[in-house]
Amino acid sequence: MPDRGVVRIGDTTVDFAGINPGPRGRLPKDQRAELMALRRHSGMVFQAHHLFPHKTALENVIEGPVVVQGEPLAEATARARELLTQVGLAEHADKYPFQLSGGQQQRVGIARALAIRPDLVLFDEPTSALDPELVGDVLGVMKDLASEGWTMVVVTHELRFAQQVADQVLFIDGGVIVEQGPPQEVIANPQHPRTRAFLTRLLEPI
Amino acid sequence: MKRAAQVLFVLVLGLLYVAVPATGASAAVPAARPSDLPPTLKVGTEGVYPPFSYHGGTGNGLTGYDIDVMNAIGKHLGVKVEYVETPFDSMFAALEAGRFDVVANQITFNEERNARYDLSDPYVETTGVLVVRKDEKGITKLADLMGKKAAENITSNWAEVAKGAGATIVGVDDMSLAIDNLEQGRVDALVNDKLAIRNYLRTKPDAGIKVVAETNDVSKSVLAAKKGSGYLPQLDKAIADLKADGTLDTIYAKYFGAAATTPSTWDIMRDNAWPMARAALTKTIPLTVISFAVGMVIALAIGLMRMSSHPVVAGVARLYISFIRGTPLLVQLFLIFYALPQLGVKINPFLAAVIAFSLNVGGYAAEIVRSSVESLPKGQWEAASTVGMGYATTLRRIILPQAARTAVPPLSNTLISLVKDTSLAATILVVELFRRAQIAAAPSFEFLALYGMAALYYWVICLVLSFAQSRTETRLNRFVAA
Repeated sequence: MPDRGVVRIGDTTVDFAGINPGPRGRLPKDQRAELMALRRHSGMVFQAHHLFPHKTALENVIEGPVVVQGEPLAEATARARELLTQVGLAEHADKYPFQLSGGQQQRVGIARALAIRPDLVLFDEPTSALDPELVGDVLGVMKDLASEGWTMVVVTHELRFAQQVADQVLFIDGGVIVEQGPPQEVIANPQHPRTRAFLTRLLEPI
Repeated sequence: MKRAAQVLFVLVLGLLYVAVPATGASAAVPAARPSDLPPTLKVGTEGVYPPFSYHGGTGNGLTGYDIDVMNAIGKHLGVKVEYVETPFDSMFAALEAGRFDVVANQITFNEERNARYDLSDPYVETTGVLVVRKDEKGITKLADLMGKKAAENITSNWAEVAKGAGATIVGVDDMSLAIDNLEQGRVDALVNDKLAIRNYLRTKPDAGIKVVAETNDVSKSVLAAKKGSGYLPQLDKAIADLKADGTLDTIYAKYFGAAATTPSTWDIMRDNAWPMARAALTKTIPLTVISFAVGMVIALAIGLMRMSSHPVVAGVARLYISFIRGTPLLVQLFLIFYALPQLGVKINPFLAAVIAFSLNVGGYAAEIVRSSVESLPKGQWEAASTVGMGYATTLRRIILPQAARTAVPPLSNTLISLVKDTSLAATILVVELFRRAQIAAAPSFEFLALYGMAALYYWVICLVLSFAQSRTETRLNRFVAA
């Protein structure tokens, strides 16, 4: 939880200076509503995908549109099939998560996040729990999304991907922004010693 | 949630009330003296004490010496008589709770009882007899009971006689069980009504017991009503009239005169197979199904309350679970059935059983709900929230369907336990499967056959449930890797 700063998505603005958990870490109701409003603009892709295991890939994708947003089932299903095709899983629509590989599961997660028509998609280390061979599929899908013009905030250690795809890169250490700018500056030519140390370590591990 | 809290409150109140000394309770009894009997006189009787009060004859209806006498009294006084079958040791508690107006069950007159209840003039006089095993040599008179063990109904007059002679009392539910204990050598003797014992020996001539002595005092059997009932003048007059016109003698001859015919074990099993199955279908199974359904709703509410971050809400749930798990189910049943009437809440037996079992299941299953919900990864809540779901939708669509999978095996255990626990409802006057078996076993003394049959019926019900459980598990497991 940020302790200050402003987040603005579309017409919703939240000033985190006014968001203060009460005793026992509970947020007051009105503050929770503010965060909920912010959340409604965004889709989220988790490191551990968190698909709903009792629902098929297709059901995972239509859950938000149908149950929360009230989209008609037929319409949501057609759109979900399109999204699954887009992430390369058209054939797997009716499989349960346990029948899919890690990369496939993560791509269902991306389709689920896109299905609620967010203004912005958040990715929390989407590839770091994956088998290296499966990482490419997921990054490929994300690259396509970027070129389609989706706004994405991605937490990642995939530097090459960031370099190719990102408009803006922030290097964060211990919750504090150390360095920010276009990738060709921050990744190719870092200024801060902390950034340099990290990049050296990551690009030349041994 | 609020309701559950209210019910709990009433329960706790009930508990406190019962804990108040008896003087406080009896002071609340109104001194009103209605001069007339009610148009329908409710009569408490055991139904398992042959030949006085038992099921037998055509249609397996309630019959016996006391029943015939009571029917004659009702006819004489022009009131309808309705019987409420109650285990003997709950008889006076049920009388005080207002479950019925009069007890007709070979109640023996004594001064203590006379001080606490309205007792009628005697309608039959008998003596007690001392009964021992056939091979017993050491016990020939009451005085020999010193230091021996005697099987008795703990609240009966005979228990007092045996205790007075120095015996240790082993509490049993009815006379036939007392004889059983004696024959099997678990006790040394028993004291009981001469007529009842004579009847037993007539039914079972080769029983391994013998009568060795009679008690000195004549025991007078009387009808009992609540103190201040105002029934006594009419009851006493009816008894006097029936004595005078020979009705009581005729009834006496019917039960204690001619020899009885004893039906075979097979006849008894055949005659009781359907009544017992019907008791299972109309009482045991509905009791189980309704209590489980209501209990699950309570469990869900309490389980969710228990997980609340609000300390009062969670505390109420914790207290509820603690009370339910920390007190015997039998005590919970008695609190609702016998103790609540003292607070002015009178509930019929079946409903009382449903309430008690539902509350009980609710307490136990709440912990199952909680543990199965908590066993799910937190990411499921987070993921549901990122697609826009609130608390209730997340529970309904995401959490509970998955929690069901881990909850089914323990919940099945709860359900199967419940099936068998419903037999406790027999103690609060619900004539369910086990009570039906008791009623059939009492006059025939066919314990093995009838209780064996009851066990078989319970087993069949539980087998069906186990089958349903494995079907449900298979269905819920379809979304996890084998």
